[in-house]
Amino acid sequence: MASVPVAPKRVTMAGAMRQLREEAGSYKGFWSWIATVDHKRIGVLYGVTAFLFFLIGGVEALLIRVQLAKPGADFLSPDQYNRIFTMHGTTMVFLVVMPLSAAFFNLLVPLMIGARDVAFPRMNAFSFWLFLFGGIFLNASFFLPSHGNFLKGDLGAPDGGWFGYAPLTLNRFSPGNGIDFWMLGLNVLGVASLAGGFNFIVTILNMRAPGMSLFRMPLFVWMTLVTSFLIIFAMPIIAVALFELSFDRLFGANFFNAAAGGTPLLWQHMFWLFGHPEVYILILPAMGIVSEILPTFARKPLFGYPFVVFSGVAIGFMSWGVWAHHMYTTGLGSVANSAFGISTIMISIPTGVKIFNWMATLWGGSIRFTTPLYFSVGFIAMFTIGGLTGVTHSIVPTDYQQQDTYYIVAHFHQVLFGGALFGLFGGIYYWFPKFTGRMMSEGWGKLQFWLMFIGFNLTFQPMMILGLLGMPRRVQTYPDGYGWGFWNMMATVGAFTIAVSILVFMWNVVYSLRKGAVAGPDPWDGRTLEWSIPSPPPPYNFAEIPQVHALDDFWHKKYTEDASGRPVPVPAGASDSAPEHDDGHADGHGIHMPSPSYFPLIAALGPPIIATGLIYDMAIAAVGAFVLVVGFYGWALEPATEPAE
Amino acid sequence: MPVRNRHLSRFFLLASLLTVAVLLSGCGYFDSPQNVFAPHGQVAQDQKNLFFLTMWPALGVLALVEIGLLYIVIRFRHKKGDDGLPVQTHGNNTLEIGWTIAPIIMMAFFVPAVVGGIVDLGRTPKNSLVVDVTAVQWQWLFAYPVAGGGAAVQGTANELHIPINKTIDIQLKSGTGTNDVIHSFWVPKLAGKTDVIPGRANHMWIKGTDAGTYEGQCAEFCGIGHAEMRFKVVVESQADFDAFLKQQAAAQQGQDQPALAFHGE
Repeated sequence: MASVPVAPKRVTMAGAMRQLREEAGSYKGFWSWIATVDHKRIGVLYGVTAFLFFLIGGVEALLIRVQLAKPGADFLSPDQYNRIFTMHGTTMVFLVVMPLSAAFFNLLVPLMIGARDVAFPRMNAFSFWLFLFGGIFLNASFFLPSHGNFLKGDLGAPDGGWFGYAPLTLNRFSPGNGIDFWMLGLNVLGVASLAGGFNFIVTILNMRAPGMSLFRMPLFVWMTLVTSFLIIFAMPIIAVALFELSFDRLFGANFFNAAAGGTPLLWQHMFWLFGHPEVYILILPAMGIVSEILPTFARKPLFGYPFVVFSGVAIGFMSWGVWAHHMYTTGLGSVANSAFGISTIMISIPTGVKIFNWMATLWGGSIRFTTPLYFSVGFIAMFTIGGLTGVTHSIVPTDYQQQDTYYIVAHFHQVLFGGALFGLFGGIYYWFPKFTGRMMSEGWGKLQFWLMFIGFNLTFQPMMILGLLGMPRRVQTYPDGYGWGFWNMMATVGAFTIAVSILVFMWNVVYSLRKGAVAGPDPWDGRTLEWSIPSPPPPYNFAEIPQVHALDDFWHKKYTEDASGRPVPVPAGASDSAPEHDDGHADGHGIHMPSPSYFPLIAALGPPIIATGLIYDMAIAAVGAFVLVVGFYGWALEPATEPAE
Repeated sequence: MPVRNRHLSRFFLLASLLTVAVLLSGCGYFDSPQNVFAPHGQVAQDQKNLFFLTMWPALGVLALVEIGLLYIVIRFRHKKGDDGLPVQTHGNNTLEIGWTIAPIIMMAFFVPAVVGGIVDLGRTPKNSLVVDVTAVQWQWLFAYPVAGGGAAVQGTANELHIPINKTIDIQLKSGTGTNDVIHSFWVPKLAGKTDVIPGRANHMWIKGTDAGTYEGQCAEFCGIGHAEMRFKVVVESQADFDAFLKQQAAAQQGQDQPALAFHGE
């Protein structure tokens, strides 16, 4: 991807600036990636970065599993364990699944709606850089010298859990700077998500190709829209909670300090009012991906498209009314617990509808067993377990037993790993050819699937048993003689099996980038617009903005239905998919694309510097504010497109 | 052919896992001192019953989906030589409304049981014996208010004694001031958990129906000592319990002052 550095020349400031500018616009070389505002390149950056964080979060998971493999182990100290499981959860939610979904939004939404870029390309770049710097800021906390020597195992990372329940996160109970990095880092990441959310809402509502009404949008675009709305409403809530925590920790306020009349429970209400929609922010994009993959390989349209759309929208609305099911045991009282129990029952309905619709999509099809299909079927199989264990949480009195046990850990990994990650891996296999021009290896792909599927079940099904055998979450060790050792060992073996599957995936990517079969524009006989353009797509995406006539428009340009309802290919030459009226755009000449810019990156450097300053010295915060302002000014004053030559 | 083999291998995997599970169940791998399915208290028993009430329908739906999915991918797999496209069904409103309404009806049956259970557990029966439980980082302190006033009898740390077949009103308090973190009181074989939150008076009730010693553990992450924040609950006859209180009260008289005093604080 990023190619070799430019040949050394005599360096002058003006020369260097000119070269930076030229390279930025050239689509070649390192600096063109740094300055890119192209949604496809930003999507790749998002994906690669999120995958690197996935490796970090995965290593953290393995450390946890090694520690828990046997009773009474002391591989990790309680302090190390607490910091590592906190970072595992925080990383997987905020630095892996969310940005991996954002990678797909970036790569696909403009292509699927027939647009040349997102509505705000530079804001899109700003989102990415802020995510990257926020993630680095968060992980930098591992190395804090004030907590000792990292190499000797003195970790500085946050130790309050990804859910950060006050008052454990207050200075008195968590001295040091770990929680400071966590609360400020999450707020930086929140801004990145908000910018992305607004960008995609505006893009989807305003930039669809002519004829693409809302109900002709691919399902993935619908799920992106719902997710983006959830993001823009959910992130401000956690932002407020984190600001209050910041005031408590940095300025001695007492929002959550019961000793001074504060309310610890307030944190939980705000955190879960964000946190439950967040669950759907994590899973809806994967549902969208699966809804694209299944029809392609069943070679039938999605069964009940309007039902699937509406159930997604219904999930989006209902996700705001179930937050207190994370809080049944906090003593909210019978009325609140009954209300949230019933709302939790209700939200399972639209989720169930989707599962039946996916199965009906496969029914009667002519199913091609490709790797993306494997992952999608795996998604349905595993997500169903996650959904059904979720239903058991609506039975409030039994949840008093399961709350904070490994049963819950099993449940949400069924949803977020068996669901979201299986869907996202399926999406990688499905769209890899579109963006690299090469197919991924099916053999390695299927090997990865089976390793991951078996490893996943070995890891997380025993956890369900562990929870019912009374093993609480977030314990660094457990005594012998509790019947937990066997199941924990099984889970550890499973976790390492998953790790092997990830190595297979990485090998597959490297191998396929070099040796993969050349894909061509439409390797899967796809249904949506992205398959109508070359692989990889040119910078301007569509030489000619397509005119859309139907849902799955590209499919209908390839196939027509005969009298009995069976589709037959459109005779060669009769298709109108080729741009026949060439007005000089076919080679992309004369299409004005937004110019690359370094300013989003500069602006994105500001917030992490400000955050560092809030912890250590306000003078540093002032520097950060200056960088932010410089970035925004440069951004505002820079012409959006170069004048035509 | 390779496709079919893969499904077979998946089937064998499931079958062998199931066999292993059955074998293990005979070897004690499904038991634990904290097993929620082996209750010795009324609350835990009610919670277990309610769990099974929903577990069987849930397993039924699970089997329907998983077996259905397996059947569909085998039956409708692409067959060599058949390169025509399948019939392009776009949906079926009757069917879809059906599978929206069916689960609603099914779930509606759970609602009375859920609400009934919540109300039952939320209302402490009259004439319950009050026990004051204080959670601090990282231990449990127990005190037994004396009927008719006076200083409470202090128990020993991390060991709660209760009389058998009597409802106990557990009053939960975090920290000796309001200066501690959130903990959660949990004795899996007696009852589900309730959080212990600073500045908040939570309570729950339990009733031990079999004499014995049961394991309890803090269930809310509370810092470095969380995993070790364990305690025992001794369910004993009323006579033994009275003797225990008497012994504790005598020990207390020997001291200058009680370690902790909750009443009149």
